[in-house]
Amino acid sequence: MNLPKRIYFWVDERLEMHDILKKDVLDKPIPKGLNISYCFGGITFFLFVMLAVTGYFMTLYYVPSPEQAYDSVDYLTFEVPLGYVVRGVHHWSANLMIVTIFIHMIRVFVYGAYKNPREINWMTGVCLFCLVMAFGFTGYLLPWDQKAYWATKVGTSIMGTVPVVGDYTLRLMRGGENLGAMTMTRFYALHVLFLPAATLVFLIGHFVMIRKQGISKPL
Amino acid sequence: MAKDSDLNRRKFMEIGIYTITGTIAAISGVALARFAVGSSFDKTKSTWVELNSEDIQDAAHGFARVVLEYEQKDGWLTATTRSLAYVKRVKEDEVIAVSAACSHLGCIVTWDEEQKIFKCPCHDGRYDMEGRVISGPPPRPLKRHKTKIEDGKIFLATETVPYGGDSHEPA
Repeated sequence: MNLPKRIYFWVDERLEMHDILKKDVLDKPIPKGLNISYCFGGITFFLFVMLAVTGYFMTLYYVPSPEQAYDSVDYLTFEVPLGYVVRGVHHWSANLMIVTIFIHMIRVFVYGAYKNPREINWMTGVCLFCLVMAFGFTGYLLPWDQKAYWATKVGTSIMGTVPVVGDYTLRLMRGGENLGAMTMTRFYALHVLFLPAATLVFLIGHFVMIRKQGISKPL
Repeated sequence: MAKDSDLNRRKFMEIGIYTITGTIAAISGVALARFAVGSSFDKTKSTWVELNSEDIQDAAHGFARVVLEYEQKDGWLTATTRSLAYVKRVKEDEVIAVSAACSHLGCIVTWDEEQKIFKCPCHDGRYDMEGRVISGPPPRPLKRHKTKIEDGKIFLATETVPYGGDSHEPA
């Protein structure tokens, strides 16, 4: 018996994970007659993984400050070897993720897969959708170019127009009255720490529930 | 027979999935590793810095303490870098410039004019006036800056080179 297998069995002898892994995760039976539209949840998750990996690596260079953000992004894109690939994958995965999460959501809606007993999973899905939107909004500011600055200016101003709570929301988002260093650091913290942690929690719930309940049969 | 082919198809799909996943992971891993290494192994560019020749003392008077200040690219920033050298004129057309960075862990050594030695404040490393180790933990002599004299002007290279023995010429 080769070494990796021996290590695997040594671990499994103690943790007894093999059956759970095989039956409930990797070899879980699915209903007959599924089509390609069932793949978009998985594709969305794949894109999330790509975003996480490329994002982690970009933090090696990125600086969230008005003085250095643009220059550090320029540097990591054009001067670091393969920087345009890493940032390009992050950029396009982010864009595609909006598309795939929408297709996933539409499929679940049209097929009625959100119905009893899967309402809670639909709710976590909606939360994940909101988190993805928040990722997009916070990430958009970070390159600190004209588009980033004005999009965030407009976006936070729109929040400011909400009756009663508008001004509070706007100030909390910007970290003050104006858009600047305070906005950048909080958007950065949200983008790389708070939102990923929240997303992870909801993703685990999303996946455990779908494995527990199984996916709904096609129409 | 039907059961057998079913099993083969299952196995084929499994191998296919692992192959595709493995290929993506391997390519991404190599690319990301190169990205993470970045410019870690790039050599810093050496430039010539002109010294005020009146500050440079003759050999009889020992070393002059010279602060080299120059602009250096630091990723996306251009930073002002300072390094310290001890310089003296040994001949009319020759100067030596001993780097003040201790060869042990990079602390700045001071020139003791009375004892004619370089002393490191961190771990008491001591060097003679050539930069050779007398005592303490330093593993190597002090490095030298390359020097040149053009039209009576003295230039120091920001780059340092290992001390090459008894000669004043750096190796």
